Amino acid sequence: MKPRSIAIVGMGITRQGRAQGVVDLELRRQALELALDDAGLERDAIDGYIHASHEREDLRYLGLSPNFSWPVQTGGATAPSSFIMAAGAILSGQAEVVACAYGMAPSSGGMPGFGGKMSFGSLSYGYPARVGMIGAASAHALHARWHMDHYGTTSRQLGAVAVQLRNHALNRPDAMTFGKPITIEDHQASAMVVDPFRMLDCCRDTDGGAVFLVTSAERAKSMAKARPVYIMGAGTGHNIGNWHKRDVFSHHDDIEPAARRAFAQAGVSLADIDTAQFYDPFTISIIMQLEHYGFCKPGQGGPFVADGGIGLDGAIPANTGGGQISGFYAAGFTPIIEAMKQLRGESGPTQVKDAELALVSGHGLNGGVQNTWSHATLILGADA
Amino acid sequence: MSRDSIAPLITGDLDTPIWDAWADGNRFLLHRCGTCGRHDWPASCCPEHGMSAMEWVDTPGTGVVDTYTIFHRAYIKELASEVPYAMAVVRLDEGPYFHTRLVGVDPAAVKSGMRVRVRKGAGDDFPLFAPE
Repeated sequence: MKPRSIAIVGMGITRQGRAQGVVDLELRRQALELALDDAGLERDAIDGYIHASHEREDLRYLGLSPNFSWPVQTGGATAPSSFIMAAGAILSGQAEVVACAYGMAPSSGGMPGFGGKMSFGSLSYGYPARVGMIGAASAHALHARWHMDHYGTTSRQLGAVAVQLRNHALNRPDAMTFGKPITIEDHQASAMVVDPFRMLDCCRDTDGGAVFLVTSAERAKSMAKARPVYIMGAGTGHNIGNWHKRDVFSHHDDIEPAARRAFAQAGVSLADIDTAQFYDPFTISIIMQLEHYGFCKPGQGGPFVADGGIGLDGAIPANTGGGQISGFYAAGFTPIIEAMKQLRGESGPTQVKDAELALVSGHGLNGGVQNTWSHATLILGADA
Repeated sequence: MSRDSIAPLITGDLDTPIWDAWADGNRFLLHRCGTCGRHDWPASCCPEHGMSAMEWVDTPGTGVVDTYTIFHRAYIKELASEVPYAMAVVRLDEGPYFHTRLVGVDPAAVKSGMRVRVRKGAGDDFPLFAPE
């Protein structure tokens, strides 16, 4: 797609927090109202609906009458992928305004949890679960251990990621860890969960909703109230190709094709990116993505972060809202939310000055024969 | 160690030959392309030659630990008595990855590059690996 042909004109974010006791469908409804208000649009403007999961009742309960309702589920790459689908619907003439919706309430029991309720079939957790390989942390831990063994990355460097993210989140009222500092010693003292991950290497389930409204650049220009952010480029990659080549764990998903396509579409280079918002369920995610996107050399992600590389004054300010680990876990929408805030100048104490271009990533789908599989990249641009 | 409560095997599944052979004297099968000799696990389609020459073959079940993680937390109550335990990705000598539990070794002593072999005759309903 051509840069600046598709605009994100509305963003609605509910409160993000633990155990709010609000069901997921209601969270999406609340987020939709906020997004409509943000864009200055009425309900009937929405003629396309994309839901990051499977749900049959959304359109009825949200009072929508679109031309289509598409489910999308490709793990942590679902959020950026839903924007790619929205752009496709608009550019192929299927819709003018597409709502990309997310809402989950895992910490209120709104989703099957562990302890007998987890449906391994639907999540395709696969055979290794039979002997105890359960949960996303372990899939990412395999990458982390590989990285430590091959590059000498240390637990303290993982801890440096956790501390940096907390430092970003400390002054952000929208972060779950607002006002709660941690030190590297806190990280080292936190309980080991799945080696090499300690508790403070991991994100926590969050209840919350997020809805984004996507339309054409032409339509966006006619909307008086909207403060659009533009899609400059997008790309996808899947690690199954590396599985076939027997080289999975040196990769963090398959970032190379996703990044190449997104940057080619945007017509920009890495040096043009003002802030990066990575999907970061675990500390290793930031380290490996910094390397695979090219912000530092292979194996240098740990020292890069420990030296302040993703701080506000660093080479590439990243996950400035605290990311998923210290901000909130809205699946792949966490990085998109923060990119939108940065490009609209709404990031407050962690605002990157004059941020015009943001890199956004999503990755996941850690199931089947366990690994983290899917990856998607968006490059977003501020209103010129 | 029955795991049907966690992840039941499905009767008639494409991987049935693996489980039947494992139950039959702990034979360890891989899916092999007769055209190029590539081995895969579980049931697979050769990325180059498709499905037509795929066949199940007996293999020794040996390889090296490519990477691993140690569970210090039980994610479900059935595993509470087993932590800490090591999950490894074994790179089988024929090429494919095989995710499994390591046994016969202190989890703290597990290292990448360690040679391992499938454990037979212990009544395991899933192939577990131990140091050679």
